[in-house]
Amino acid sequence: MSGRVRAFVTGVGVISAIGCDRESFWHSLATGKTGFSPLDPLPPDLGFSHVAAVRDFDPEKRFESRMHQTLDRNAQFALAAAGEAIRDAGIEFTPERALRTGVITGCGIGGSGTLDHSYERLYRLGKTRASPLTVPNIMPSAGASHISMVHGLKGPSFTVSSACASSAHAMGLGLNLIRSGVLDVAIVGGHEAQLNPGSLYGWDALRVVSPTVCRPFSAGRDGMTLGEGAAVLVIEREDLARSRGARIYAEFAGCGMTADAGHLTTPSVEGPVGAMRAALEDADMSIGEVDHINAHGTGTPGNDRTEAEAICQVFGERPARIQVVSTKAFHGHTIGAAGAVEAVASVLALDRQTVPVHPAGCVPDPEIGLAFVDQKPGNETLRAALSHSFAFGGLNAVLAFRRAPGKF
Amino acid sequence: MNKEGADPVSSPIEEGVIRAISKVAQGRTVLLESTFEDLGLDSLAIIEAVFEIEETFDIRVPDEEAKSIRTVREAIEGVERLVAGEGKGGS
Repeated sequence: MSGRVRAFVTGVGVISAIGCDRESFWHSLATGKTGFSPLDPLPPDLGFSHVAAVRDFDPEKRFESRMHQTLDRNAQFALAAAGEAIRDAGIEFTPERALRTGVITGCGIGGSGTLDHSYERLYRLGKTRASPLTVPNIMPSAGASHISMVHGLKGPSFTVSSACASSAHAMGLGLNLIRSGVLDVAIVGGHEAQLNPGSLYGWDALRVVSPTVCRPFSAGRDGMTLGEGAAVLVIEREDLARSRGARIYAEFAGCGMTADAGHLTTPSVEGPVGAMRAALEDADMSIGEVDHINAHGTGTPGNDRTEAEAICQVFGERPARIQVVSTKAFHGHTIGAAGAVEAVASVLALDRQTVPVHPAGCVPDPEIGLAFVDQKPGNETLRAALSHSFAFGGLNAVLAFRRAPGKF
Repeated sequence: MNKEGADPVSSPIEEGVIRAISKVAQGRTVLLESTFEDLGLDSLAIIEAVFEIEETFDIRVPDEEAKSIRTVREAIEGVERLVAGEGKGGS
């Protein structure tokens, strides 16, 4: 859209099973290092044994105050990722700027570890009172609140919940609050930590978790692998980013959102198609410009088939030349954080001008009409990328990014 | 936070209360004569301290008492009253 306010990604932070900072995360994606590990201890009678848990995250070392004891794990991830992103952006929050900077995050479930622990006390240990921090830790918006408090950010701040699309929706809202003039800077992202027994059994009951590991778009794929983590991106209006000489990772060019209005757990083709088209239109992006898609790609047989069909509908003959990857093959499904974690992968791909390839163990499925990325492509430039999030309940969000201006 | 001149901690209740409050005192030394203000405890931290005390002694501190305690000594006296009151059918 000519004349429209543009927004750039100028800072990135991530906590994931494949790295607790941006460079380790990218290194894992670039070298095919996955983050799956066996559950220890393994809860009895669970139908799966592997998760993508965050390792090498020591809250006691990361936080000076009591936050290592008093915050739910998902909020600790959020704070850590936000700290990295804000340091990376090198942005200073003067009192005036702080008023025009908002924190908008996505979280699907919230402090489920806190809730699980609270129920364990109540039902197993026979305790009749809970920690006073139970409620402030369960609230899904805790991550956004703590980011705002620690960094003194006073603009509109809140958390969006739309299951696996939460942080993609949050990012889209952040972009539109900048465009509409409400914010100059949006600290956007997502946070989730739900690898506790109560949640694991809940997922197991849906029969969507892989008894092996997540292998998106692969022949023989058998489900998703649960992950956890957080990602935060600093988004700034173009003139502000330019005037302070910020390092620009990519343009956050657009966002498309739709609802299937269909089934609770089975995705449609039309909903995702609508979201992709809306994102392209919002970004003023042609289908010929898109060189890479970080797909929702959960690794369930049905999701990947439906998503491939949707991609083919939107891009016609072009899918054979688009590098479609789902980075859930590396960091698992981080639920409410997924949209932001995967957006970070897309933004870094545009910045580094290379896409992650599917890791070993993934093999092409002849029924999927997409190019299967299992080796490094040639020297073609990456102009634009989409990041897909299609949630349970049929809530869809697609984010569109362009490589930074002046790059090539 | 000068320890010199502080009363020596003598009873298990004193010890338990100090240990409970120390959990929320962010590394500050908790003394018998400390006020919650000295310890930098805000309203939420005071509620957490009361919870830790309840956990330690398996008691329930009534709301009005939880809201009025301002010092370590008051907390100890409150616990002593509650523990003594147990078995007398009241709280």
